[in-house]
Amino acid sequence: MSGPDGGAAGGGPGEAGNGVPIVEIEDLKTYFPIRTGILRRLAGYVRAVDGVSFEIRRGEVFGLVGESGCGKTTLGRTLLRLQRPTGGVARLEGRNVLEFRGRDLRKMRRRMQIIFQDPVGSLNPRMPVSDIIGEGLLAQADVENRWGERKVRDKRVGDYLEEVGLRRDYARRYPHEFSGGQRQRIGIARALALDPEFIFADEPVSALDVSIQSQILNLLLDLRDRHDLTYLFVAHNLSVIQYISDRVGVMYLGKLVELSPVAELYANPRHPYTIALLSAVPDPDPRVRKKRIVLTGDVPSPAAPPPGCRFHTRCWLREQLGDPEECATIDPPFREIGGGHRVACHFAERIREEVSTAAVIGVEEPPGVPGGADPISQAS
Amino acid sequence: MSIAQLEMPAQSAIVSRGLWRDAARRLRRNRAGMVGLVLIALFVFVAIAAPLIAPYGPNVGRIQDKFLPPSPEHLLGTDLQGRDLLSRILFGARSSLYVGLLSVSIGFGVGVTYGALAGFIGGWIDFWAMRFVDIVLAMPGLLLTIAIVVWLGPGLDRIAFAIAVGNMPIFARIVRSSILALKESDFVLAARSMGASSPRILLAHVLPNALTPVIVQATLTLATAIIDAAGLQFLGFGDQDPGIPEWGAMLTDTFRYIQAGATFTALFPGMAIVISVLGFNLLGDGLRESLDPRLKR
Repeated sequence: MSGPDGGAAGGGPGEAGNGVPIVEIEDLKTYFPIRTGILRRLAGYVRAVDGVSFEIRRGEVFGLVGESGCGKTTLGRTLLRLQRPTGGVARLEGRNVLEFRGRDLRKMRRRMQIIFQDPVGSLNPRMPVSDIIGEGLLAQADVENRWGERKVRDKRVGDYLEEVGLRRDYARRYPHEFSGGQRQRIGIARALALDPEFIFADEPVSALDVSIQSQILNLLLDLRDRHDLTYLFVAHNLSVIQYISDRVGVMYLGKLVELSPVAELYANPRHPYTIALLSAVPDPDPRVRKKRIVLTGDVPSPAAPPPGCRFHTRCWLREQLGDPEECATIDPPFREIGGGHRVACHFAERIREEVSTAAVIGVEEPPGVPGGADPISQAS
Repeated sequence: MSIAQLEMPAQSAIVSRGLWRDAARRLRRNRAGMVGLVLIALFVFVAIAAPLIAPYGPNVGRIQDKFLPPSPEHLLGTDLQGRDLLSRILFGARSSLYVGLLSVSIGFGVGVTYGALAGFIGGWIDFWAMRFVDIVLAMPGLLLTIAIVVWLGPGLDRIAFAIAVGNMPIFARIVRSSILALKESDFVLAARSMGASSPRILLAHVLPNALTPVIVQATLTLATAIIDAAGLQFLGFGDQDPGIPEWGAMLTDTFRYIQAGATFTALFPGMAIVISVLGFNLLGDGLRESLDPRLKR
C-alpha cells in the first residue's frame, strides 16, 4: 500500500522535506520470542512491530506517537539495526539496511544515529566526554578522515560540543558533572559527530524539565537545517510532536493506524484512536471546555493481538456504530484518503459526523470545572 | 549553560585522557589507597630483599635459644627451635605473598574472563557456563582445594592454583551479573550504533563498569588465600622442605606453644598477615574509588 513511489507521491511536498524519501519501510516486523521453563521452550512471540510501512522524506521531522509499549522505540531500533528484525524491508537511500552484515554494517551505521531518552543511562559514567563523543570517530576512523589520530578526533569533539551549545573544554569532564539538559546536548553531539543523514530521536525531551525541553527542540531543528538532517522523532507528548514534526504517524499495538501531515492530523484526525489521544491534550485556556474521549480497558497484549482491527476492543466508534462485524474480523487496510493522509479504519469517512455525537460514550467533563460555572471566579 | 560555566573551579588544568590514566591520577590523590600501596610495596621489597635485611638466616637457631622473648638480639624473639622470628617473617613474606598474589591473579584473570564472556555472549553459552560454575560452587571450598592439591601433588604453586580454582567461580559470578545489566544499557547501544565492535564494547564500555565489585572481592580473597594456604601447609600439602618459612605455617605451627607463654610466636606472624591483608584491602578500596569518576573529590 505504501510502496516506495506510491505513498510519497500522494502527499506532495510537505512543509519541509522535498518529497524524496530517504527512509522507506515496508512491512517491517520485529517479534520477540517468549521462552518459558527451564528448557526455554518457545511459547510465542511478542509482536512489538507487526507490519509497518511508511517512508520518511529527506529533511523532514517524522513524528511517531502512541502509548507506552506500542512499538515506537522497537521500530526505530530495528531500523538502526540495534534490534534484530523479523521481517520486512527498511531502505536507507534505496539500500535495504536489514541486509547489511559485518564490516558493511559497521560502516553503514555512521549514516544513522540515535538520541536517547535517558540522559543519565545513555552516557558511560566512566568515560570523559571526549571519549564518549570520540568513540564513534574511533570506530569509523579511516585513512581519509584520520579520526584514528587523537588530535584530529579531539578537534572534532570540540567543534561538535560548540555546535550543540557547550564549551570545548567540557570534553575533559565526566557525565556526572553535567545537568540533564547538558547531558542531552552531549548525546546530540555524539550522534552528530559522525555526520549522519538520519537521526532516530527516541523521546529526546521526555526526561527533561519543561523549560529545557524547548531549548533542546529548537536545537534539534537548528541542527536539522545546518546539517541537512532527517529525524524520526518519537514522543509521548502531543504538543511536542505538533511543534517539531512535519508529518506524524500514530502507532497502536505494533501497527501504524494513521499517518498525515501534522496540521491535517491535528485539525482533521480520522482514526478513533487518534481522536481519543488528541482529546486528552489539555487546552491552555481554562475556559475552553473539552470533550474527552476516555478509552476503557487495557491495551491488549502484543503477544496475542485481537483479530480484525487491533483497536476494536477499545474502540468508541465501533460501539457507536453498533458493533459492525468487519471491525472484529477484517484487519483494516492502511489506505490513502487524500492529501497524504493515510488511515487504517473501516469507517474513516464517517468519523467526523460521529465525533459530534460521541458525547454519548465515555465523555468526561474536564476535572475541576463544574458545569456552567465560570472557572475564573473559581480560581481565587 | 551560563550557570554551569560559573561553577567548576580551576581544576580544569588537568586534561582527561581516558579512564585508566584518570584513575591512576585519582589513585595518587587517594590517601587510603596510597597507604595500601606503600604497605604492599614494603612487603614486596621485604620479600625480595629478605637475605639482605634479615639479621639471621631463616633456619639458623640453637635449640637452647627456644622461645626467647623479644630482645635487642632477637627483635621479635625466637621460635621452638630457637630461630629468629623476625628473620623468618621477612623470609616468609616470599612464599605468603607468592601464594596470595598468584592464586588471586589466576582466579581473577580466569574468573573475570570466563564470567565476562559468558554474560556478554549470553544465550546457551551463558546458560551452560553458569551451570558449570554452579557445580564448582556446590562443592565445599576447602575440600575442593584439597582434592586438587592431592591430585596435583604438594608444592606452593599447586596450592596457589588449587585456591585459585576455588575462587574462580566467585569472580565469574560477580562479573557476569554486572555485565548482564550493563550490556543492555543505553550507552552500550550507543556505542554499537556508532559502529564499535563487540570486543571494543566489552573491553572499553562494559568491563570497566563491571570491575568495581570484583576488585573489592579480589582484595578480600587475597586475605583468605593467604590463610587458606596456611591451612594447607598445616595439613602438609605445602613445600616439603620445612625450612622454607611461610606465615600461615608459622602461625599454625606455634599455636601449641601459646600455653607455654610464648604468645609472640603466633602474634607476630599473625600481625604480618593482618598488615599485608590490610594493605591489599586499602589498595582495593582506593582502586574502587578511583575507578569511579563520580566519587572524585
